[in-house]
Amino acid sequence: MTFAGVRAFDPVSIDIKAGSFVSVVGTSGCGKTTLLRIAAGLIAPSEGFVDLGGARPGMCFQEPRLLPWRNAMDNVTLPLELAGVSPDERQDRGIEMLRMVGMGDAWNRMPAQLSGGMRMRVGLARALVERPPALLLDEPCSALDEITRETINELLADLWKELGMTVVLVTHSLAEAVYLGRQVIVMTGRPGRVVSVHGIHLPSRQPEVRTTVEFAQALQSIYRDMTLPRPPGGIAPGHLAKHAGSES
Amino acid sequence: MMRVVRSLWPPLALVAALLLAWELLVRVVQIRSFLLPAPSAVLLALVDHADSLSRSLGLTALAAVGGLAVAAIVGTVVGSIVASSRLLYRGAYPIATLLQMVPLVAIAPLLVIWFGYGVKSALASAAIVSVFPIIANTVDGLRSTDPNLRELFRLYGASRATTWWKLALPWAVPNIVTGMRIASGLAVIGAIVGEFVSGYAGADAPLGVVVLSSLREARTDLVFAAVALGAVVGFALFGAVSAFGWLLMRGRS
Repeated sequence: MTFAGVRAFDPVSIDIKAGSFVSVVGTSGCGKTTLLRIAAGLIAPSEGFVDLGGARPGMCFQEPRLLPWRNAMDNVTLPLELAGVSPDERQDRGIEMLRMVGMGDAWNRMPAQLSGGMRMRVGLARALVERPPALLLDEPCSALDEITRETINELLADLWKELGMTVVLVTHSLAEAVYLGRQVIVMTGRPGRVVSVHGIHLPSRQPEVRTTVEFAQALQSIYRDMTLPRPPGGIAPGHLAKHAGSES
Repeated sequence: MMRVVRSLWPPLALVAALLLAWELLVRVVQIRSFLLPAPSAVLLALVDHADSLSRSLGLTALAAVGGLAVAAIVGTVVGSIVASSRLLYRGAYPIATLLQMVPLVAIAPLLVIWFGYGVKSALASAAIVSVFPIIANTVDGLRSTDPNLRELFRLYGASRATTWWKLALPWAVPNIVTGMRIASGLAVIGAIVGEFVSGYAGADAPLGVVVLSSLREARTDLVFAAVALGAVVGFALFGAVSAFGWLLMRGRS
């Protein structure tokens, strides 16, 4: 894949099982966002293809990308509106999705009246309102504070369990990648290529799991595969968790 | 309410002080009224000719409002066409900027040939002067559409027409309203210039004709009265456009 005259990728071949939750991590400029955009059909690859079985994926970006002149409901139902779904059906599916992301009571609020986290929830509801088979997330939490990021992560885990779609999460945060992903793909940059694919097996998926040895080990093996400079004196699990948390 | 009063009283006080100074100057220096009538004389002329002046006001307002409405529609459509393609933008934008430099007063007599005597020519004149700021602002607004939101519409497979209607046009509303605000003052000027060359004298004379015929009769007080009413039309139009813009943009950040 070449992009603007620059070879963005070495041949990349990734098979993602339908219904799985995959995180993609890598240093800045490794092409993980480009890969996601190709998957979404926003960039045409110069060679190769992305096969999503013909259906359009839902996508969340770093910013919620809400239309400031539409309330939460009309933002969520935008994809249905563009697909020609009737207004009644749009309302029904919109309110159902807003309830699912915990925004049922705020359906008529304008984006300017919502907090950053609430806007992200609305953006998520919009990405899911068509019930796509795959949800692509491009660092959706990078602009959020730690507490909000935590609640959005919980929401993502719940939505995935409930709706069963394939999720591909591109993130800078290793902790987020390991906590949410059943698989973590490590990429490295210029040209982008996949370094390794890690299966994540944690004893539980409760928030407390992040203090366990298994979690720290998973982080450590991913960290090793990335070309980040090592801190002197080796890596203690505590340090890693902190480092991963402050990545964005 | 208190905020409105607080922001309104300084300009109102200044206008009152200026009118008072004008009145005193005319009385103390004893300036003859056909040279410069006192504000009280203008007020008297307004009251004495309330009937005919209100008809004149109505006619000029009709030309200005009609002209602005035509300019708003034509300006938005032309602006949208110009902004739709890079080549068109690069070709048309310099021409549109140059066209603004054409002195309308010189074209105004032509309008009589095209539209005949009466309100139609005044309306056309108002539309021509007010259309350019609306075109320019529409183009700027449409071209400034957030590329992230454009990408979102591309993700959902929206056509160019749909993207224009549901994204670019609403996005450009603040710019279009700004263009209309600038145009609202110009529309009154355009209407009065149009009336200078196309208006009928007599009972149904618009403000532009009142100015000309009163000058011939050395009724400077009536000239000032007509000018003051022209300003009222301009203020009202500006206020209406601002209120319209506020309604359209309610709730946005």
